[in-house]
Amino acid sequence: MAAATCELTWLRCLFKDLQVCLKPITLFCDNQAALYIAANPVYHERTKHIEIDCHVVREKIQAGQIVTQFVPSHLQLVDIFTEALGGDNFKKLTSKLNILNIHAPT
Amino acid sequence: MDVNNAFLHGDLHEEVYMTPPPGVYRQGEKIVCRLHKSLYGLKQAPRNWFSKFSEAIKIAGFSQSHSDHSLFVQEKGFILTMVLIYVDDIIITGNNDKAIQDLKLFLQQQFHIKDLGKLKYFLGLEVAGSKAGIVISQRKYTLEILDDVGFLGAKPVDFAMEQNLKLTNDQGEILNDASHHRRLVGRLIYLTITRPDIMYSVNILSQFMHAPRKPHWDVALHVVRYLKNNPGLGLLFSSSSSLQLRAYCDANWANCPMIKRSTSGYCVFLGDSLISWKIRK
Repeated sequence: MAAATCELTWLRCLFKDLQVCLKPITLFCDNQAALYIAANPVYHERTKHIEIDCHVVREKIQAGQIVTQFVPSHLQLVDIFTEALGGDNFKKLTSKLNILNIHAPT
Repeated sequence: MDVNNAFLHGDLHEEVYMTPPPGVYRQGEKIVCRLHKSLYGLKQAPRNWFSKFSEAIKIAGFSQSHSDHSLFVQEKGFILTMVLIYVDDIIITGNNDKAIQDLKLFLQQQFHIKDLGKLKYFLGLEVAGSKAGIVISQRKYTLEILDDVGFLGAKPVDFAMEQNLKLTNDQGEILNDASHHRRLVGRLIYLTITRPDIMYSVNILSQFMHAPRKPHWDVALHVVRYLKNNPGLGLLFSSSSSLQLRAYCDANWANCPMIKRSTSGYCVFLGDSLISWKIRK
């Protein structure tokens, strides 16, 4: 989540340079625990190893730049990057990513 | 647009001497010449060229973007013009044709510039634009890879990688010629620019670059066979999409069998179009 937040911060700057104003960005995550930790500024003893990551995300949420939202695992698009998929799932996600063949005969 | 002899435009600020090329000096004579302008092969040539270009374009009223230094933006009321430069290749875009024409004229006066017309091919990416949007693909590059491996006639497969396959760094015999494998994986990495679907397998493969073994080579070939299935796949940037960013992030927990690290990844959509993604272990 922290890596994604950093990228989003950069993209926000880039779009500002391109004179595009953005609404708060929605960050989807399928990990409920991570979402709760990001939302509540409560000290949690199990977060001590990932402390900076938590703070980065939390800061951006409080500044109103990103909004976190839960997404069920079967709708999680990043699965194609983190797991070897097969079957329909792979094809479904490829089309979701807007990958298509313009040379294909229609 | 393409700049002719780009590096020769740069101004040299350091004292650099060179022996003159054959034909300039007489036999037995020992002379050196001092350079006033930069030349190809100098260490500072690329830097000089870029600073020359950015100075020139700043005079024309452009400002350098802070988030991407090779991007220059000009804003005059509602007229917006953007310039992206990669060494000597320049892309110009904007919402006003007149402003773009003016800029081209200006650049032509400053440097020797060749106008290649509408954007079709940039750094190996094929760009096709239509009313529905822009598609970038690397069809030619994919076919080159297939040709290199000799897989043009191979049987295509449907998936980039087999499910539940766990690669380790101590099984199978070590490849005799690892450079072959490394070159192939390197080319696949470049291909991921337009093919996020092979991202995961390429990520796995590149973890074993130091000592590739037979199973890794097999997986690499499997990816190539997957490419054979549909070499023309590319990314679509739809023109009708909204300007709303969405991001997804995920991690697989301790998936790596060797060191129990997890792979995390994210992807960012602008409207419906995928614009940025990354995975790392």
